[in-house]
Amino acid sequence: MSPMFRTTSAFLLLAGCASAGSSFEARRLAVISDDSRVIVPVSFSRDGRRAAYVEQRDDGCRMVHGSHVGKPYGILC
Amino acid sequence: MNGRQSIAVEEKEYSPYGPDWTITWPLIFSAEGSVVASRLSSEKTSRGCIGVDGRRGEEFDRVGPPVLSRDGSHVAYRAHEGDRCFVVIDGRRGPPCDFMSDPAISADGKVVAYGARRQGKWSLVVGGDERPIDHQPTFVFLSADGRSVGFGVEDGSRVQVVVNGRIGESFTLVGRPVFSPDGKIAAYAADQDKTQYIVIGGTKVEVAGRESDPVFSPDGTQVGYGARIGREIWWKVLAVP
Repeated sequence: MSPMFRTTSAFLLLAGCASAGSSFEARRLAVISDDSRVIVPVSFSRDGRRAAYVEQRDDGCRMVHGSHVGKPYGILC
Repeated sequence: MNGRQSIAVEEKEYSPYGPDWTITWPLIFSAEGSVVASRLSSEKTSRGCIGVDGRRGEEFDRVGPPVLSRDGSHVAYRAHEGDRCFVVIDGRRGPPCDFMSDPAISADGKVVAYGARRQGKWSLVVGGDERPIDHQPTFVFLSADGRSVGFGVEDGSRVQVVVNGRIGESFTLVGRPVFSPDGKIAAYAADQDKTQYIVIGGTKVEVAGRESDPVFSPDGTQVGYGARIGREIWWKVLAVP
Protein backbone atom coordinates (compact mmCIF):
# COMPACT_ATOMS: atom_id res chain seq x y z
CA MET A 1 0.00 0.00 0.00
CA SER A 2 1.40 3.36 -0.97
CA PRO A 3 2.30 5.61 1.91
CA MET A 4 0.25 8.28 0.16
CA PHE A 5 -2.85 6.27 0.89
CA ARG A 6 -2.06 5.23 4.37
CA THR A 7 -4.09 6.71 7.10
CA THR A 8 -2.36 8.60 9.78
CA SER A 9 -0.42 6.68 12.34
CA ALA A 10 0.16 7.85 15.82
CA PHE A 11 2.12 6.62 18.74
CA LEU A 12 2.18 7.00 22.43
CA LEU A 13 4.98 9.13 23.77
CA LEU A 14 5.71 8.17 27.31
CA ALA A 15 9.46 7.80 27.02
CA GLY A 16 11.19 10.23 29.30
CA CYS A 17 8.07 10.85 31.38
CA ALA A 18 9.68 10.69 34.79
CA SER A 19 9.13 12.99 37.70
CA ALA A 20 12.08 14.10 39.77
CA GLY A 21 11.84 12.65 43.25
CA SER A 22 8.83 10.54 42.38
CA SER A 23 8.05 7.62 44.63
CA PHE A 24 7.97 4.23 42.99
CA GLU A 25 4.72 2.83 44.29
CA ALA A 26 1.67 0.86 43.19
CA ARG A 27 -1.20 2.98 41.95
CA ARG A 28 -4.30 2.87 39.82
CA LEU A 29 -3.59 4.94 36.74
CA ALA A 30 -6.81 4.91 34.76
CA VAL A 31 -10.20 3.37 34.28
CA ILE A 32 -11.27 2.55 30.73
CA SER A 33 -14.71 3.92 30.06
CA ASP A 34 -17.50 1.42 29.42
CA ASP A 35 -18.27 2.69 25.93
CA SER A 36 -14.76 2.38 24.50
CA ARG A 37 -12.49 -0.46 23.46
CA VAL A 38 -8.72 -0.45 23.98
CA ILE A 39 -7.10 -1.63 20.76
CA VAL A 40 -3.36 -1.69 21.47
CA PRO A 41 -1.40 -2.61 24.60
CA VAL A 42 -1.27 0.06 27.24
CA SER A 43 2.02 1.98 27.43
CA PHE A 44 3.50 2.97 30.77
CA SER A 45 6.05 5.59 31.74
CA ARG A 46 9.20 4.25 33.34
CA ASP A 47 8.34 5.70 36.74
CA GLY A 48 4.90 4.09 36.70
CA ARG A 49 3.11 7.42 37.05
CA ARG A 50 1.48 7.58 33.63
CA ALA A 51 -0.27 5.27 31.22
CA ALA A 52 -1.48 5.85 27.70
CA TYR A 53 -3.64 3.80 25.41
CA VAL A 54 -5.64 3.98 22.22
CA GLU A 55 -9.38 3.74 22.56
CA GLN A 56 -11.75 2.99 19.74
CA ARG A 57 -15.21 4.49 19.57
CA ASP A 58 -17.78 4.77 16.81
CA ASP A 59 -16.23 7.99 15.46
CA GLY A 60 -12.60 6.83 15.35
CA CYS A 61 -9.55 6.10 17.49
CA ARG A 62 -8.01 8.42 20.05
CA MET A 63 -5.00 8.37 22.31
CA VAL A 64 -5.93 8.71 25.98
CA HIS A 65 -3.25 9.88 28.36
CA GLY A 66 -4.38 10.82 31.84
CA SER A 67 -7.14 13.39 31.48
CA HIS A 68 -5.97 14.21 27.95
CA VAL A 69 -7.96 12.74 25.06
CA GLY A 70 -6.36 13.17 21.62
CA LYS A 71 -8.04 13.99 18.38
CA PRO A 72 -9.66 11.17 16.40
CA TYR A 73 -7.84 9.34 13.60
CA GLY A 74 -8.99 6.70 11.16
CA ILE A 75 -6.30 4.27 12.25
CA LEU A 76 -3.73 4.44 14.99
CA CYS A 77 -0.99 1.91 15.48
CA MET B 1 -3.99 12.88 7.58
CA ASN B 2 -5.48 13.24 4.07
CA GLY B 3 -4.28 9.75 3.22
CA ARG B 4 -0.66 10.40 4.17
CA GLN B 5 1.31 8.43 6.71
CA SER B 6 2.68 10.58 9.45
CA ILE B 7 4.01 10.35 12.98
CA ALA B 8 2.01 12.07 15.68
CA VAL B 9 3.76 13.16 18.84
CA GLU B 10 1.18 14.43 21.25
CA GLU B 11 -0.86 16.62 18.86
CA LYS B 12 1.91 17.45 16.36
CA GLU B 13 2.22 15.44 13.15
CA TYR B 14 5.15 15.14 10.83
CA SER B 15 6.19 13.09 7.82
CA PRO B 16 9.95 13.40 7.99
CA TYR B 17 11.10 10.89 5.40
CA GLY B 18 9.07 11.80 2.32
CA PRO B 19 6.53 9.83 0.30
CA ASP B 20 8.97 7.13 -0.92
CA TRP B 21 9.71 5.78 2.53
CA THR B 22 7.34 3.90 4.78
CA ILE B 23 7.90 3.99 8.52
CA THR B 24 7.84 0.51 10.01
CA TRP B 25 6.52 -0.13 13.49
CA PRO B 26 7.78 -0.03 16.20
CA LEU B 27 9.09 3.45 16.83
CA ILE B 28 12.11 3.42 19.11
CA PHE B 29 12.61 6.24 21.61
CA SER B 30 15.70 7.24 23.49
CA ALA B 31 15.25 6.90 27.24
CA GLU B 32 14.94 10.64 27.57
CA GLY B 33 12.26 10.67 24.86
CA SER B 34 14.02 13.30 22.80
CA VAL B 35 15.05 11.11 19.85
CA VAL B 36 12.90 8.74 17.81
CA ALA B 37 14.16 6.11 15.38
CA SER B 38 12.51 3.52 13.19
CA ARG B 39 13.02 1.20 10.28
CA LEU B 40 12.12 2.61 6.89
CA SER B 41 11.32 0.66 3.76
CA SER B 42 11.27 1.88 0.17
CA GLU B 43 8.32 0.69 -1.84
CA LYS B 44 10.25 1.47 -5.03
CA THR B 45 13.34 -0.61 -4.29
CA SER B 46 12.19 -2.81 -1.38
CA ARG B 47 15.40 -1.84 0.41
CA GLY B 48 15.51 -0.58 3.96
CA CYS B 49 17.34 1.85 6.15
CA ILE B 50 17.12 3.39 9.59
CA GLY B 51 15.71 6.83 10.16
CA VAL B 52 16.67 8.84 13.23
CA ASP B 53 14.91 12.13 13.87
CA GLY B 54 14.20 12.68 10.17
CA ARG B 55 17.65 11.66 8.89
CA ARG B 56 17.93 8.52 6.77
CA GLY B 57 20.91 6.22 7.19
CA GLU B 58 22.62 4.04 4.56
CA GLU B 59 20.38 1.75 2.54
CA PHE B 60 20.71 -2.03 2.78
CA ASP B 61 18.78 -5.05 1.53
CA ARG B 62 17.20 -5.32 4.97
CA VAL B 63 17.65 -3.80 8.40
CA GLY B 64 16.57 -4.82 11.88
CA PRO B 65 15.05 -2.54 14.51
CA PRO B 66 17.44 0.09 15.87
CA VAL B 67 18.60 0.54 19.45
CA LEU B 68 19.51 3.94 20.88
CA SER B 69 21.79 5.04 23.66
CA ARG B 70 20.12 6.83 26.56
CA ASP B 71 20.40 10.29 24.99
CA GLY B 72 19.80 8.99 21.46
CA SER B 73 23.18 10.15 20.17
CA HIS B 74 24.29 6.60 19.29
CA VAL B 75 22.40 4.06 17.20
CA ALA B 76 23.05 0.41 16.35
CA TYR B 77 21.16 -2.08 14.22
CA ARG B 78 21.45 -5.28 12.20
CA ALA B 79 21.82 -4.93 8.43
CA HIS B 80 21.77 -7.46 5.60
CA GLU B 81 23.47 -7.21 2.21
CA GLY B 82 23.16 -10.29 0.01
CA ASP B 83 23.76 -13.39 2.14
CA ARG B 84 25.82 -11.53 4.75
CA CYS B 85 24.80 -9.50 7.75
CA PHE B 86 26.62 -7.17 10.09
CA VAL B 87 26.03 -4.71 12.86
CA VAL B 88 26.01 -1.02 12.01
CA ILE B 89 27.10 1.26 14.84
CA ASP B 90 26.82 4.98 14.25
CA GLY B 91 27.02 4.37 10.52
CA ARG B 92 30.06 2.08 10.64
CA ARG B 93 29.76 -1.57 9.59
CA GLY B 94 30.98 -4.32 11.87
CA PRO B 95 32.55 -7.57 10.66
CA PRO B 96 30.27 -9.69 8.45
CA CYS B 97 28.58 -12.81 9.79
CA ASP B 98 26.26 -15.51 8.50
CA PHE B 99 23.52 -14.78 11.05
CA MET B 100 23.20 -12.43 13.99
CA SER B 101 20.80 -11.27 16.65
CA ASP B 102 19.63 -7.72 16.97
CA PRO B 103 22.15 -5.71 18.98
CA ALA B 104 21.85 -4.19 22.44
CA ILE B 105 23.54 -0.94 23.42
CA SER B 106 24.74 0.46 26.74
CA ALA B 107 23.33 3.69 28.12
CA ASP B 108 26.33 5.74 27.00
CA GLY B 109 26.47 4.00 23.62
CA LYS B 110 30.05 2.84 24.12
CA VAL B 111 29.24 -0.89 24.33
CA VAL B 112 27.23 -2.81 21.74
CA ALA B 113 26.49 -6.51 22.16
CA TYR B 114 25.02 -9.09 19.80
CA GLY B 115 25.09 -12.76 18.92
CA ALA B 116 26.91 -13.67 15.71
CA ARG B 117 27.37 -16.89 13.77
CA ARG B 118 30.49 -17.30 11.69
CA GLN B 119 31.67 -20.55 10.14
CA GLY B 120 28.87 -22.42 11.89
CA LYS B 121 29.75 -21.27 15.40
CA TRP B 122 27.85 -18.81 17.57
CA SER B 123 29.58 -16.24 19.69
CA LEU B 124 28.53 -13.36 21.90
CA VAL B 125 30.13 -10.11 20.84
CA VAL B 126 30.34 -7.54 23.64
CA GLY B 127 32.18 -4.42 22.63
CA GLY B 128 35.56 -5.60 21.41
CA ASP B 129 35.26 -8.96 23.16
CA GLU B 130 33.96 -12.12 21.48
CA ARG B 131 33.00 -15.20 23.53
CA PRO B 132 31.91 -18.58 22.11
CA ILE B 133 28.44 -19.74 23.19
CA ASP B 134 26.65 -23.04 22.71
CA HIS B 135 23.27 -21.75 21.58
CA GLN B 136 21.86 -19.27 19.16
CA PRO B 137 20.84 -16.18 21.14
CA THR B 138 17.38 -15.04 20.16
CA PHE B 139 17.92 -11.68 21.86
CA VAL B 140 20.72 -9.97 23.75
CA PHE B 141 20.48 -7.39 26.54
CA LEU B 142 23.01 -5.26 28.37
CA SER B 143 23.22 -3.45 31.67
CA ALA B 144 23.31 0.33 31.54
CA ASP B 145 27.08 0.34 32.06
CA GLY B 146 27.63 -2.39 29.47
CA ARG B 147 29.42 -4.66 31.94
CA SER B 148 26.68 -7.28 32.36
CA VAL B 149 25.21 -9.13 29.42
CA GLY B 150 22.39 -11.60 29.02
CA PHE B 151 20.63 -13.37 26.20
CA GLY B 152 17.70 -15.64 25.46
CA VAL B 153 17.85 -19.12 23.99
CA GLU B 154 15.02 -21.13 22.50
CA ASP B 155 14.63 -24.87 22.58
CA GLY B 156 11.57 -25.80 20.60
CA SER B 157 8.69 -23.95 22.23
CA ARG B 158 10.65 -23.14 25.43
CA VAL B 159 12.68 -20.02 26.18
CA GLN B 160 15.40 -19.53 28.77
CA VAL B 161 17.25 -16.40 29.82
CA VAL B 162 21.00 -16.57 30.40
CA VAL B 163 22.39 -13.84 32.67
CA ASN B 164 26.11 -13.44 33.09
CA GLY B 165 26.58 -17.07 32.06
CA ARG B 166 23.87 -18.54 34.37
CA ILE B 167 20.90 -20.15 32.65
CA GLY B 168 17.40 -19.61 34.07
CA GLU B 169 14.18 -21.60 34.15
CA SER B 170 12.49 -22.39 30.87
CA PHE B 171 9.20 -20.69 30.00
CA THR B 172 6.77 -20.77 27.13
CA LEU B 173 7.18 -17.02 26.62
CA VAL B 174 9.67 -14.46 27.82
CA GLY B 175 9.55 -10.67 27.47
CA ARG B 176 12.43 -8.25 27.20
CA PRO B 177 14.73 -8.57 30.24
CA VAL B 178 16.23 -5.59 31.98
CA PHE B 179 19.20 -5.37 34.33
CA SER B 180 19.07 -3.79 37.76
CA PRO B 181 20.85 -0.42 38.02
CA ASP B 182 23.94 -2.13 39.47
CA GLY B 183 23.84 -4.79 36.73
CA LYS B 184 23.83 -7.66 39.25
CA ILE B 185 20.41 -9.18 38.51
CA ALA B 186 17.88 -9.13 35.72
CA ALA B 187 14.10 -9.01 35.69
CA TYR B 188 11.75 -10.10 32.95
CA ALA B 189 8.17 -11.02 32.18
CA ALA B 190 7.55 -14.70 31.55
CA ASP B 191 4.60 -16.97 30.86
CA GLN B 192 4.25 -20.63 31.75
CA ASP B 193 1.38 -21.49 29.46
CA LYS B 194 -1.42 -19.19 30.74
CA THR B 195 0.23 -18.29 34.03
CA GLN B 196 2.05 -14.96 34.08
CA TYR B 197 5.17 -14.23 36.09
CA ILE B 198 7.66 -11.50 36.77
CA VAL B 199 11.07 -13.07 37.25
CA ILE B 200 13.49 -11.12 39.44
CA GLY B 201 16.92 -12.68 39.70
CA GLY B 202 16.27 -16.33 40.53
CA THR B 203 12.75 -15.73 41.91
CA LYS B 204 9.53 -15.87 39.93
CA VAL B 205 6.42 -14.11 41.18
CA GLU B 206 3.00 -14.99 39.78
CA VAL B 207 1.10 -11.92 38.58
CA ALA B 208 -2.19 -11.16 36.83
CA GLY B 209 -3.07 -8.85 33.99
CA ARG B 210 0.54 -8.03 33.21
CA GLU B 211 0.66 -5.59 30.32
CA SER B 212 4.30 -4.47 30.23
CA ASP B 213 7.86 -5.58 30.75
CA PRO B 214 9.21 -4.83 34.23
CA VAL B 215 11.47 -1.92 35.13
CA PHE B 216 13.66 -1.46 38.19
CA SER B 217 13.19 1.47 40.52
CA PRO B 218 16.13 3.90 40.42
CA ASP B 219 17.53 2.47 43.67
CA GLY B 220 17.14 -1.11 42.45
CA THR B 221 15.10 -2.27 45.45
CA GLN B 222 11.78 -2.61 43.59
CA VAL B 223 10.44 -3.75 40.26
CA GLY B 224 7.40 -2.15 38.66
CA TYR B 225 5.20 -3.30 35.82
CA GLY B 226 1.98 -2.22 34.18
CA ALA B 227 -1.18 -4.29 34.49
CA ARG B 228 -4.70 -4.19 33.18
CA ILE B 229 -7.26 -5.69 35.50
CA GLY B 230 -10.71 -5.60 34.02
CA ARG B 231 -11.18 -1.98 32.94
CA GLU B 232 -8.62 -0.65 35.38
CA ILE B 233 -5.03 0.15 34.47
CA TRP B 234 -2.54 -0.26 37.28
CA TRP B 235 1.12 0.19 38.06
CA LYS B 236 2.16 -2.69 40.30
CA VAL B 237 5.33 -2.87 42.39
CA LEU B 238 7.25 -5.87 43.71
CA ALA B 239 10.11 -5.86 46.18
CA VAL B 240 13.38 -7.25 44.89
CA PRO B 241 14.00 -10.48 46.87
